[in-house]
Amino acid sequence: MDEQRNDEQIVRQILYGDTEAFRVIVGRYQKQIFNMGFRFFRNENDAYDFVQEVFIKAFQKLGSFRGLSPFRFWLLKIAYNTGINSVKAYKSTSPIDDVAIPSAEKSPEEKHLNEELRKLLLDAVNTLPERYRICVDFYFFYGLSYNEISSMTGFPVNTIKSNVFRAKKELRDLLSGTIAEDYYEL
Amino acid sequence: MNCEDHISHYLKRESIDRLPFLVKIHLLWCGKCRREIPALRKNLAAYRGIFPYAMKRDMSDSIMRSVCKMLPYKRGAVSESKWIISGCILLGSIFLMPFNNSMQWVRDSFGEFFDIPLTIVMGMAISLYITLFAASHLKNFGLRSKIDRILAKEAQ
Ligand SMILES: [Zn+2]
Ligand SMILES: [Zn+2]
Repeated sequence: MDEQRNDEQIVRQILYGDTEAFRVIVGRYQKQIFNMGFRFFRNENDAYDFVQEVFIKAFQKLGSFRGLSPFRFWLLKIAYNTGINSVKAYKSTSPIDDVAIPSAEKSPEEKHLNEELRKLLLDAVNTLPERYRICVDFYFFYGLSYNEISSMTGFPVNTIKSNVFRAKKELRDLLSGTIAEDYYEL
Repeated sequence: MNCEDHISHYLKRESIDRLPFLVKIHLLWCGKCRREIPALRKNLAAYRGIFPYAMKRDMSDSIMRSVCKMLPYKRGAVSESKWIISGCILLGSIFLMPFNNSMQWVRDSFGEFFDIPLTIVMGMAISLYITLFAASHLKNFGLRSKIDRILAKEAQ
């Protein structure tokens, strides 16, 4: 029954004192927050800690949620700010260990295909300057608009536009290069 | 415009799904792009809602353990102490009014007839306070849940 309620309704429930309803919010968004954490810290353990930290922060700030933008955007913004601040604080110098872990919700055939595509996009994104990579994540995976990404990150829309364009072009080259003919059948 | 220009034109657009008009026209007579662009579009669109790093651990329990240690929220944005303090200030200012000389100053400057508007203003301030208090404490009066139920029914 909780699954049918929208985020804003659940938030209201929590503000009425039903803390347990927060579990639904966690269930809905932990994967997205985890992925953002991975983008910031490039390792699983820190990404899990990040998820914990972001949701606790979100719970503490919930009383200040005004519903001016969708809850999901509000949550992603908290996560983004948390990530930016801790990356600044700890200046990660660890090398990129891009472990592409398959997600388990697609059929085996699809999964294989997605895995390949996923690897290609990660390669394409990795050709971009580090601080803009997350913009491309927001565009492709999170489905945010240029304007939303700009208001989240503070980067100008044109910067986001040109980085997304570069990633798409790179991706196109990778798609036609690595699996040449095969790719048209995908 | 050659094929590369058309592909760049498409990739520069924010929307993955919609092909620009000129590109559509180009597709009508260019077999090479007819093979490439729709496939490219399909691949780009395939990323939406996919998250590249799979999460192996469910964090719900661990987060809920921390969250449950915190105080649950209570209905109403203004805390009880703020209500009590502002109520005291309001009442205090009314009772103190006759005893200090600001009232006298008002009388001296504007004449006796100003008493009545001032009383009305004070009355309105008290009513406003009570209205806001009642509105934010509807749950305590048992009305809030009734209103919620009506709203929920309406929403269905
Ligand atoms: Zn394959
Ligand atoms: Zn062409």
